[in-house]
Amino acid sequence: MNDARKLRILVVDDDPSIVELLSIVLEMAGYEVLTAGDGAQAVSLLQNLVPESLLDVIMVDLMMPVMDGLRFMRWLRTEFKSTVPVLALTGRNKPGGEAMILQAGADAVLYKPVEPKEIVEMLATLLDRTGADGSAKG
Amino acid sequence: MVRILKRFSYGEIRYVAVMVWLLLGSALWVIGAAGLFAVPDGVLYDHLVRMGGRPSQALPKVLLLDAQPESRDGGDATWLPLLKELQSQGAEQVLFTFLPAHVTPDFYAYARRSGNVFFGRGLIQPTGVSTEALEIEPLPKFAQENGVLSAVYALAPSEYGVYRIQAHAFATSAEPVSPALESLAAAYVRGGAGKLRKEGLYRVNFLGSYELPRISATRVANGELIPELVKGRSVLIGFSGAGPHLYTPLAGSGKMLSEFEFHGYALDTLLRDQPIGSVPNWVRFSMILSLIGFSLFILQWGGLRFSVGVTAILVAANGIMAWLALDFVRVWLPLTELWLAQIATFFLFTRVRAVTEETKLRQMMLETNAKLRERFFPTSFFASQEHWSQVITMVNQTLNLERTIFLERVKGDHRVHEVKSLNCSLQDIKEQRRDYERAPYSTAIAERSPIEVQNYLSRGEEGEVQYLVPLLFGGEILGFWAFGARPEKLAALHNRDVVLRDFGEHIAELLFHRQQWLEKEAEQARPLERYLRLQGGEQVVESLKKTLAALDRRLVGMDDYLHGLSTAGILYDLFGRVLIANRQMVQILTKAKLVPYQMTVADLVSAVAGVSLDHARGLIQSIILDRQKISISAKLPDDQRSYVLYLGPLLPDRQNQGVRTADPRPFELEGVLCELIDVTAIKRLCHLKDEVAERLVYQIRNDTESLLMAVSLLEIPALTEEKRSRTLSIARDKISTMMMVIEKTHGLLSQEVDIEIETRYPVDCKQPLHAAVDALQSKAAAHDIRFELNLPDLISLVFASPEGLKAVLESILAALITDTIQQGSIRVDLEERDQWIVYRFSSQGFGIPEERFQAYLHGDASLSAEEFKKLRQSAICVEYWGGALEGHSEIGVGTRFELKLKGFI
Repeated sequence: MNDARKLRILVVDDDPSIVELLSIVLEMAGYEVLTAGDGAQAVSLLQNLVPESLLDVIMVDLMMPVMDGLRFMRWLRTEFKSTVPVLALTGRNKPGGEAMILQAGADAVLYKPVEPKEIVEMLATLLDRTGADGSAKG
Repeated sequence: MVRILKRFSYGEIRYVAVMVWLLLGSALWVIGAAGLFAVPDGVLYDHLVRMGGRPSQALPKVLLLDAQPESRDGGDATWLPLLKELQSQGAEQVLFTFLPAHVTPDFYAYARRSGNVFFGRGLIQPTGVSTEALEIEPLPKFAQENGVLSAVYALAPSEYGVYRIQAHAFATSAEPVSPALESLAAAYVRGGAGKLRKEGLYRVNFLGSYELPRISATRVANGELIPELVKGRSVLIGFSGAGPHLYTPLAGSGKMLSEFEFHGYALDTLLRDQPIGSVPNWVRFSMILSLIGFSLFILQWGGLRFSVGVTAILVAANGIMAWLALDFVRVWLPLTELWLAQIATFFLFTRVRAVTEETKLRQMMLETNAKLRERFFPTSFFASQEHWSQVITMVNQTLNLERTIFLERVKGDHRVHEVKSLNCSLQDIKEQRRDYERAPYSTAIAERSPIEVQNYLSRGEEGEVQYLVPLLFGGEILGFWAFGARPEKLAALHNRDVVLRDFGEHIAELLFHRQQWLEKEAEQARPLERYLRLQGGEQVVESLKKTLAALDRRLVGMDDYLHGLSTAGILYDLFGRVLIANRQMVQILTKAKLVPYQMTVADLVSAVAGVSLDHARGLIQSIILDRQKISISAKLPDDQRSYVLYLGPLLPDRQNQGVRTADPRPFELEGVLCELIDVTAIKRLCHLKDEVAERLVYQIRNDTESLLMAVSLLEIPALTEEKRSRTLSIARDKISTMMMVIEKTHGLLSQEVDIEIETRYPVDCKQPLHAAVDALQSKAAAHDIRFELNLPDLISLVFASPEGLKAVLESILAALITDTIQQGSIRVDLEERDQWIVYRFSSQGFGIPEERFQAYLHGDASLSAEEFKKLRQSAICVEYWGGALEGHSEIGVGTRFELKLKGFI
């Protein structure tokens, strides 16, 4: 982890309440939180606003309007060629669903409802596993 | 006889064949014995005699020596040299058919000495005696003294003018038995007077129409006698030119015989011992009985054509048998009786069968009528006017008529009678226009279709159009239906003539049943009348024709009903063979490459339900033996639909038939009924609710996540007051949102859903699109057009109809296929935005002017293109679901559509 700056996380979710609460939780856990309301907004953010190299981890909901989480992850991996670790958060727990999510580009999946503590732990594990630090790049 | 046979036909006498056999046989035998068949029998006999072959001993034993009648008085000068000449040439016998006149005792002495000379003596009526008894012609004194051989020279009575027989002896006033000349001569040839037959008749043998040799006395006197002609023969001397000629069996070939010649044939018959015999009475009786018995036995095997054939063969066989018997055995069989027995048996048998069939047909017809009546129409229908009121009201309202009257033909009355009327009455038809043998009825009958009539019903409104429709049933006019209507209302009736004819047919059928019922009622009320009426076969046939027409209508109706059922059904008999399969079943099985009529019920169950053949047999067994009803989930190859296979016993309607059975018996079953019930829609509906429930769970998980995070944050003491307050606010909002979603979803889950197009329910938005694309794939391929689908993986449900959404998407895609250029593609984008699901359809196509396109899509411009009709219906449908269908078109660019539907979690 880079001491020079906080770990930067992009939270992509269409539910504003979750985005807001997650932001509080993650900020308290020491993350700098960026948010997007759907996959399309996240794409736009990544392309225009934020240097992708400064992004440490992405947390994405799957079920979203305009561009869903799966599509976003596929874009991220195939078109944007990013290796930023992605934690998928979903309420859908269908047989075979996890494989599809991982195949789309997620590095880990958490099923709602999940304790904020678990989210923070999973993010830490994910960052450790991928060796991500503040300079994680695509 | 027919009366007796009619009784037979009703089954009152059990052994009809035995009765026919004995009665007919006895009757023919008695009639034959009484000689009533003598004339036809004689004709047949004569005919066969002429057809017969020559006698077995070819050379006749008789020589006819024909003298001139005046030579009778020639005395010794004529007859003694002749006699000596004949004796010297070796004549076997010499028979004088007369007593020569003026001969001396030397002549008779020579004759006596010769021992083979016979004299015929005629039978004469004694003078001065009024008696029928005849006297034999007296012998001259010299002849008597010389003791010459003499016998009666006379003819036996003819058979109705035809001479076929001769007597062995005659009764005279002097002696009861006086031998005939031929018999005496024949007896001497056979050994003397002891061999003489003194009674009886015999048939003279004319077989083969052979000729007896003859020579004239003049030629003999001139020394022209041929020795070979005389030697060994009996020479019969007589006068062929004297007396009338006789009708004999040979008369048929144009040959009339003199009495002298007839005696020659008679003598020849006896000398050759070949008289034609007859069968004894008991044999005749036996033959008749045997023939009738055999015929009755054979005739029962086949129909009319077979009976005619068998009878013809037996008649021919009898003729041949009689001919052979006559020719070879010289016995005359009673051919007339045999033929009559044969033909009478045929007619009686045919008659019995016809009477039986007619009775059975009538019975069947009445039963069928009764069954039809009881099954389809309550008795009150015919008895009361109430039902007719319903019928006439229904007809009036359906066809929008002003007034209507049903008229019927009544037997024995040439005027029409009113059955029921509405807003008019029989009084509105002028008295002189009620005769159905005259116009306009005769015109309608001739046309056999509705005709327009003028002023038929009086008191009509200005401009009223009137029609007269003949009520035809089973090809017969049962009555008429007249009505009046406003011209504009009648003009609004499409296919007017066809509709009127259809209605007429139905009314006629009701009328037919009513008339049958009335007839039955009348019969019951006046039972005697039944016996006073002559009911010919034609009436039975007519009645049957109408009953069958009624039955046919019912069967056609049942057939249509069966094939019109949306449920696929197939009926098997107890042995597992197909009895009937409806159209749906045939279509489903054919699509699955199964041939219904080549499969047993076990095969079908095995193939459709995917169970082993043994298991299938076990199921069938439980249905047949235990009356089990079974439902199994079924899936057919190459068929995406889901089915339930229902198997059950088809039992007769015992309640209606008034039959009670204690235990089930296998043969009580009428078959095994298999139904393939399409449960795809039900499954889809269940799936719809599952999907809504699944989305609810997802939503709750999502919202619970917020609550869980809020609770976790609130537990953190370091949380600032501002954030704490915000967190609490979010949690409260979330609880409120959750409650709303739960309530809304609960409402949807408890809602009765159907797949009707008007239904509005959260449905998957991608599955109908895939289904629509699949459905149009072949059409697109035909235009070399491909589909490009750009769909998200996860998307909310949309409010639409489960079936309707597919139809809407199909209509849009179909319109685009029509517009898109060849080798082009149709792109479909699906997106969720602001709780709306948006489908975008685009392609590179020809396009039409935008203004016209909008008029077609949303306006009220009349449409001929099927695609736009469907699109317009789709737009209405989408609007009903709370969505919107927009489209734009530009020439040279193509057409685009945007379908927006409300999303749901």
